[in-house]
Order: sequence, then structure tokens, then C-alpha cells
Amino acid sequence: MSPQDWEKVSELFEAVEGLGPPERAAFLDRECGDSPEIRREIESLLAAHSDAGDFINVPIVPDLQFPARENNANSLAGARFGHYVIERSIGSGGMGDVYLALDTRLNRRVALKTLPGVFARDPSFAKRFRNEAKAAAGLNHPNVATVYSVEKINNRPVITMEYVEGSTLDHETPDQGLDIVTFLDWFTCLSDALAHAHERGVVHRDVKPGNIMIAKDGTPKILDFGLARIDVRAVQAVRQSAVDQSITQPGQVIGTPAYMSPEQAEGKDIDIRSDIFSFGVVMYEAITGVRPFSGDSHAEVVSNLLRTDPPLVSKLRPEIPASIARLISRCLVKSPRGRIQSMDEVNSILSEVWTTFSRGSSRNHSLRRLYREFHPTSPKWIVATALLVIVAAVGANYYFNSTRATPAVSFADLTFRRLSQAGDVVYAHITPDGRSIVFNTIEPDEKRAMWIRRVEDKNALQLLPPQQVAFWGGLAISADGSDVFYITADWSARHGTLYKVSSLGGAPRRLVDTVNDLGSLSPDGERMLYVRYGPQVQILSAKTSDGSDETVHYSAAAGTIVRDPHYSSDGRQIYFSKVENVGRIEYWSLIEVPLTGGSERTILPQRRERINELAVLTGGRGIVVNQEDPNSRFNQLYHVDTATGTETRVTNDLNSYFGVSISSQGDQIVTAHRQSLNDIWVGETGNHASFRKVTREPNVFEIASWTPDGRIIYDVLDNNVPHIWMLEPESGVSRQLTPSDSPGFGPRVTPDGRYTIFTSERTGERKLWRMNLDGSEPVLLTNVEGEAFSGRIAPDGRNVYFRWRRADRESLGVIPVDGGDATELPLFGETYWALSSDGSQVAYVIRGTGNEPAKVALRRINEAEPYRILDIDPIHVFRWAPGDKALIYRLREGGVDPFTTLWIQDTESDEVKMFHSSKPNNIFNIDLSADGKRMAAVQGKIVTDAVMLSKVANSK
Amino acid sequence: MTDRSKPDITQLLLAWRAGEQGALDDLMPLVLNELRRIARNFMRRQSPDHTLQTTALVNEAFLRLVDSNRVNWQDRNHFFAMSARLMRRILVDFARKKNSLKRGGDKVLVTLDDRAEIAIEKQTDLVALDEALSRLAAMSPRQSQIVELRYFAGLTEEQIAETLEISARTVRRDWNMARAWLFRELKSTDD
Repeated sequence: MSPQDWEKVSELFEAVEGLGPPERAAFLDRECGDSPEIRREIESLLAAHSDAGDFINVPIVPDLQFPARENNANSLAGARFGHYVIERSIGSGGMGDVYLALDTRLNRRVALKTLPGVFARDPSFAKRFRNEAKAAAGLNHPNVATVYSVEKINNRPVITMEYVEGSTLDHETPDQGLDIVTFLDWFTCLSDALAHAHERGVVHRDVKPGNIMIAKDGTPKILDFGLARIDVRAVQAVRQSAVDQSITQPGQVIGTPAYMSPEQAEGKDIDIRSDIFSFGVVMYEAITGVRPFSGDSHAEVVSNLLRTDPPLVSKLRPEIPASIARLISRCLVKSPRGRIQSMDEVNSILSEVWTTFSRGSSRNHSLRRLYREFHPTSPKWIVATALLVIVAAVGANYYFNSTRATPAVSFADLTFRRLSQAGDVVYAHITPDGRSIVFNTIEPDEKRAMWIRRVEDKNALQLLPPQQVAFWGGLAISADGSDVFYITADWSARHGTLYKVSSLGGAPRRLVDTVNDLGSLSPDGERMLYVRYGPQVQILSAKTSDGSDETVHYSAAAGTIVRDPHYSSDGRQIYFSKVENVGRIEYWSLIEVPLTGGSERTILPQRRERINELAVLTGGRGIVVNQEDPNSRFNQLYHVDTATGTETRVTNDLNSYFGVSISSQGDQIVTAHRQSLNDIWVGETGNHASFRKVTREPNVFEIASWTPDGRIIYDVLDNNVPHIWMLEPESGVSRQLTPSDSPGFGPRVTPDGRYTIFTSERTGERKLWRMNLDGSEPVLLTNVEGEAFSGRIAPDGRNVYFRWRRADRESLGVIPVDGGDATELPLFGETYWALSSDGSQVAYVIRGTGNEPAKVALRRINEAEPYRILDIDPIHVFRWAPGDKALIYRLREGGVDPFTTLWIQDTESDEVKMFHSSKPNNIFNIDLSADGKRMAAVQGKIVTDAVMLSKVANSK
Repeated sequence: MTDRSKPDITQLLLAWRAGEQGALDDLMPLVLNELRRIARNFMRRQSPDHTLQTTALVNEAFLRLVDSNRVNWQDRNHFFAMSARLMRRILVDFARKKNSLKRGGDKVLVTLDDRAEIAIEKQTDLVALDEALSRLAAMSPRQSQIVELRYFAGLTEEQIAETLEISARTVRRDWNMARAWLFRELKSTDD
């Protein structure tokens, strides 16, 4: 169209536009009668005009906005973003989008949250943002999704967080609310997490179900700690930057107000008490399935929040304990001052209910308390058992040996399943029908309780309330599961009392006094076996109905120890373990005696390893025993063929099991599983107040070793497989060095920082390996006959000492770090030894005989005899102090806090000082940095849980 | 030390107004840089009363670049007109670069500066609009310019009227006409 025509069209268009349709036609007829082209154009433009809506009406630039959200989240999938590779979008929170990303440097998956570029440009904001994110990153709690990093990538501020796979609480909450046990399990943890944060001055500000993840393993985790404020600022900043004010309503509430505190909804300053209110709302909804404050609009929600009180929880769910209903009401008080004041208090109320209603919650039991129950009759056992557990971290010599002969009864393909989580179990037994477990727990104030629950159901019924007694000798359960037999004793008593209690609850019935150990019930259920220590040691039985008709089956001289007598499956024999002293050394054996009397028969001949408990399989298929493993010193399960005495491993791992029980089908074993939860702590040598935890998960196995540049190589036990990791203590960032199919443990770093030496069974046998500090170039160092383990680098850094075990002898091997032939030396004592840093002398432990404690010998390396003997019996930590004038060690027992204290003793003056305290954790290992100024310590706690080993469907 | 950019730009502006077309070619990159720089500063400031408006942005660019003692209000309007064209060019260039996203996505990321990311609500296919505007300019340069000033530079009808020295009514008429025509054009390219 020519400009002239166009001008005409424009004029007519303006004129016709103001007319109604009838007039338009007449107007156009009149004006464009001779020019149909112009008429068509005008009609077309009129139509376009009425269709155009807001087309280009709003200037493009005022529409400019900061990219609050990425235009298309999925378009980033697979994209590289700094050293992250975005896998997929996992949602958006506040102003940022959240992606699942792979951190390629650490090779771990993270939740990566992007924030608007606005933040990169405001220095004061950037600073605040960093500070807040740092505070959040400082939170180290199993129920908080850890903030890993705050960084700028492509000028975009980014937060990376622990990626929690699972679903949010709102998705996990059924319409009618959670069952009380799940509720208590989760909210006790969550309140502890919030208390932990509040203690550190971090207020969450956005506690809501969408910010609570239930991980796949059932662990609840709070997300986005302390980031809410950042989000709010982000929203404000972006809105300020936008021209279109219609999207910015002053005082507009960001997100849903349903979980806000009244003060927050009113825009007032908030503190930890706001979190408490929000937590109350979340609890209310979780337990009732109903939101306490709701409405059709945000305004209505806020109005309800400010003015109304929700229906009482007890009205909606009358069966909920009153203390829980009351707690929720106390959290929901509108005035912050009238509200419950601390998350600690919320946590302690929840814990208390948890304890009384469902399960024990005490996690801080001491070793001593635990062991008294297992070994009530002999004080030395207390120590011995405690040692075994501590040795868990020392032993380390052992990892999944290849299995040997095929057992008569196959225990292959067992699946391991944890039945409890609280870490407070004493005994756990399965009922013969395999459907329920009965277990004892440690409760607050050292009390003990007993529970029963279905294997498949978390809800436990309390059979015995917490009481100030010890349980002795395990449990016995009648074939139909209706009665549970047990012994309780006062803490300092010499004997206990045998009771039975119905598995439906009710008052226990006292059956026999003056008993010391409990055995099994006869196959017909009429009688029960037990042990009494008196002038003689006796195995007796009595009627299960009332404890009458006591009969002696076996007697031995006082001083003999017999344990856990069990009827054979036909009821004609009794099996038990027996201890005899040869000299002063204990030897254990497994014995069979006929019920009717007669000579005893040895099934398992005498050995140093303890045979702790038994469980008899039905149909004469043998016995499962809980026995100390000769290599690892952990208690493991073995199957014993009673006819041949053939012993076959059932378990072969780095756990320690306590007790054993088996279903009558023989396909389910329940036992208590004990493990150490260890972390690495780092601080200034000699200043234990300066120590802080640097690992994020308590899965450290045993060794932490400094690199010359201040990093730490350590081992981790991951699903019972040991691996070697590298940790940067400042950042807490760690990564795995050993490939997943090539485990390893016990790493030591050479002083020049070239290599780490470690033990691995990747060839099927324990050998020493060497690799570079980044995990590259693994090399088999000890290509020698037999096993090589416990590698220690010589002070000169050129050689590696190791324990060398061959079929006929055990010795000390020496091999150059760079490889070569191994030289054989006699052992420096049987257990711990330490070379001085100048290599001129060795300190080593001489094992005492019998009850005599071990001692430490000091010997010059070129002399045959020690020049000094010290009265110390060290365990686990044993080394020369820098300067070679003193020894640092931990004691096996005795003294003050033996498990949590390291001592330093001058080897000339014998002056002893405390060197380090790991209280309340036990300490397992230390390493000093090259200059001696910094110390890394492996410290942790021991937890015991009920576990079930069961056969998966036959693999044949 | 004197700031050499100011006299240059003012000189170029004066030359352009005097009819030297070459002056515009020299002027544009300088103004472009300044627009980007100012846009960045606007974003950095983040105070509630400062919003990113092209008008304000161009105003500030003018004040910074041009020696106001030597130019009159008409020069300022020229500058606005030129800036509108520059904005159009900046935005369309970016839209063209991001063309792969164009049809599917509803937003286009535009970078005025490496530190200032701006997302455009992409209700409009900028590349097609640009082409249509060029065709429109062949029939009516004024209508094309009005669209430029209003849509790309964010000027009000009154400001446009002042800049182009026409009546506000003409601005409105031309705008309605141009908008209808552009809408039809873009619709037909979509089909």
C-alpha cells in the first residue's frame, strides 16, 4: 500500500472506529464506494483492532522483570552450572528454583537452589545473605538438611543443600492424621532439630509441612533452614524492581499464611517463638489431618489465625495422649509471651510421651550400664565385653572373610533388617512363631522397660514399665508366644528373680528366686532351664506354670561359669557354654549333657573366644551361637552342627551382635546389633574445648590420618563396607577415594604426603595397599603369603610395618613404601605398639595373664629386653607424644572416665596428666598434624538396636 | 582531565539533528553502551522509588551523555527518539538470538549487560514485530516511530506528541491504526 493510500486508510479508520457497526457500513459505503481495496483494508483493520486486546499496549520495558523464576526449569536439565550438572528440577521454593544437581567436584548429589541475580548486585544484601546462609550451614543435625555451600555461579547466588530423597510431610500425612507412634517418632526428632537451631540463634521462619521431608528411610528432615528470610527479601527486592505495581501489594503475605505465627502474619519482628507457633500448627495438622487455621482466601486464613482458636486436638482425636493435645495448644497461644517458650521444652515433652507411650528415647547410656546387664555375674566380664565393643574400632583387621564350608543348614542370603532406631535396646528376641519381637530398652534414669511388638508394626506394647532393675540372661518365650520369661535383679544384687509376664500385658508372676541366668523352655513348654551360682554352679529346671518342681540337671565347682542352657530340640539333652580357667586364662567350650544325667560331651572344644548365647533350631538342625570372632573380636553368629561340632559362619561382618533368638521355622534370627557412631573431631592439641566435629555423618570407622597439607584421610563404614575418604576439616567437605567396588580401611598417610597406605580385601585376602592421596593408582603393596594388615608407617616414612599372619605364625612385616620385598620381624608384643619418632625405641603392650592387667614395656630398638615396664593397660589410643618423652594412651578401665579420657605420661618421671577429654563421647583414635599443633580424634557413641536376619525367598 | 565522551556525544547529536546521517552511526554505539550501563546502575540501586523504566533510563542517559548547555529540548526529544530505536534494536537483537526459545517459551531472557539479566514477558514476537515495523515505516514512518517510542521506549502519548511535535490526538490515532495493522500482520505470520 502506498503511503498516500495508507494515509487515507488511517484517516478513515479513525473516523469509522468511533462508530457503531450499522453506521460503519453506511460510512464505508459512502467513503470507499470506489475503492473496495481500501474498504477491505479498513474492515480488516477494524476486526484486528477489536481482536488485538492488549497487544503491545504495555510498553515492553516496563514489563522487564528480573528472572524470579527460570523461564523453563526443565530446559536446564543436563546443563552444566559451574561445577554442577543439573539433573532435573525438583521444585521451587520462595524465589528460587530448586534442582537436583551433581556436584562434580565431590561427586555427590545436592539440592541446588538458585536465587535471583538481584542479590549478586547488592553488596549489603550479599553480605547478609551469606551470614544467614552460613548460620544455616553451621547446623549439624541428623534431622536438618545440611546447607553445604553458598556460592556465586555465573553471577547467580546459589545455595546447595543436602539432597533428601523422600516426600514432604504433607504427602505423608493421611487424611485422618498420623498414627501416634509415627507422630512421636517424627516430631521428637523435628523438635530436637529446631531446638538445635534455636540454640545456635537460627530461626527457621517458615516451618511448614512442605519444608519437612520424610526421607526414604523414614528420617524426618527440616529443609531450608534460615533461608525463609532470604526468600522474603528476594520477593521484596524483585517486586521493588518491577514496574508493574499491581503485583506488589504492600504488606502482602508471601506464601501460605496457614503456618504463620500471628506476629509474623502481622509483619512484626519475630523470634524463635514464631517457629514454635508454626511447629504447633504443623503438629496439629499432622495428628488431626486438619489445619487449625484455614479459609478460602489468605485474608480469611489470617483473620482466623489472629482471632480464633482451633478445636482442641483432644476433641478431634480423643485417643491422643492428653499431654500431646496440651502441648499443641500451648504452642498455639497467640501471644508469644503466653506460648511455650522454648523448643527444648517442646522436645522434652514429646520425648517423655514417646518414652511412656511407645519406646525409650535415651540415647546417652553409658557403656558400663549396658554391660552390667549382659554379664551380671562376673565383674571382669563387664570389662571384657566393653573392650570387645571398643575394639570394634581398633580391630579393623577384619572384613568379610570369604565363607568356608557349606553348612548343613543354609543361612545363605540372609537379609539384614533393623527393627528399632532409638539405639537403646538391651535384649531383643523373636517369638517362636516369628511374628513378634520382645525387647528391653534403656529408659531415662537408667531404668529398664520391656516391650512387645509385631515385626511389621512399629507400635509396641509396653509389657513392663520402666523400673530401676537390671535384666539378666536374655529372654525366653513360650512356643505360642503367650508368655515371656525373664530375670530381673537389683543393680548390686548377687542373684535375681525369674518372672513370667503375659505377652498381652498384665502383672508379672514371680516364679523362682535366687537365679543368675535364664535358658530356654522345654519343647513341650512345661519346664524352663536356668542357672544358679551358689556353693556350686547348677543348671536347673522348674515348671513354667508356677516355678515348682525344681530339678538339678548339672553341677560344677564354684568358679566355673555356665551360660545359657538350652534344651535340645527333642528335649533330651541340654546345651550350654562353659568357661574354665587354664592358669588364669579363660577357655570357653560348648557342652552337651543328657537331661537325665550322665557324662558331658564337648561339642565345641575349648577356645579363647567367648561363646555368649545359644539358640536351638528345631528338628535337630543344630544350634546358632553368638560367639566372639577370633579375628575381629566382634560377636558374630555361627551355626554349630551338634553331631560333628562343625562350626559355620552365619554372619560375617563388622557388626557386633548381642544375644541370639530364632523362630521355630529357623528362618528368622533376631538379635541386638551394636555399632559405634563415630565422628572426626578436630581441635588444638591439648585444648579439648577447642574441638569441633568436622564430619557430617557419624559413620567414621576407625582411623583419621592427617595429610601434610591439613586434610584428613579417614575410613568410613558405609552399609558395613569400609571405604576411604578425604576430608577438608575447614569446610567439612569430604569425598570418597576408594571406588565403590574396591573397599579399604585403616588409611595412614606417608609423611611426605605422597601416598596413603591402607588395608583392603579386594583380592579376597587382607593385604596392604597403597594409593595416591587423590585415590588414584592403587597398588598392592604386600604381595606376600598370608594376611597383611594394620599398616603403620615407620617414623622415617620409608617403610611400612604391618601385621603378617600366616597359617603357622604371626609376625611383624616391614616393606618399603615404594614396594619391594617384605622382611619378617618378631612382633612387638601382642597388641599395641608404638615406635618413637626417632625410631630408636618402641613401647609395646605385654598382655597380662588371667586377671592381671596388661603392662607397657619400653625397649630400645637394638636391645632384646625392655629397659622399663609401666603399669598402664592401654587400649585403642597408644602412641608417643611429640618429643618421644611421654606416651599418650587411653586406659581400658578404671580411673576417671576411662572411655572418654586420654592421658599423657612422662616415661621417666611417670607423671600423668590428662591429655584430652572427648566427653561425652568415647574416643577411639587420634592423629596429630605434622607440627603437632592440631589433633584429629575419632570419637563417638555406641548404640544398640534390634535387628532381624531373615532368609529371602530361596535363591535356588 | 576532561571527560571526552560528553562533548563527543553532544557534538554528534547536534550533527545528527543538523542532518548528518553518519553522526547517528557514530552516536548509536555510544548511547547503547550508556543505556546498558545505566540499566545496570538502576538495577543495583534497588530503592523502592526507582523502577526500571526506559523513560527514566533514557533521561538519565541523556543527562549523562549530553552537555545540556548546548542542546535544547528538541535535542532531548531527538535523543529520546534515537534511544527508542536503540532499545528496539537491543531488544530485537536479543530476541533474535534467543529465537530458538521463542515460539515455545513464554519468556525470553535478555541481557542488557552481562550483569543485568532481564526477562521479557514474551507476549509479542519481537522479531516479527520488528520486521512488521519496518514494513509499516515504508508506508508511515511516523506510525512506526510512535510504536517505537511507546512500545520500546515507554513514552506516554504526551511525551511522544512533544517529541514528534504532533498533537496527542494524532499520536492516539496513529497508534490505534498501527497497532491494529501490526496485530494483523503478526497474526498472519503466526498462521
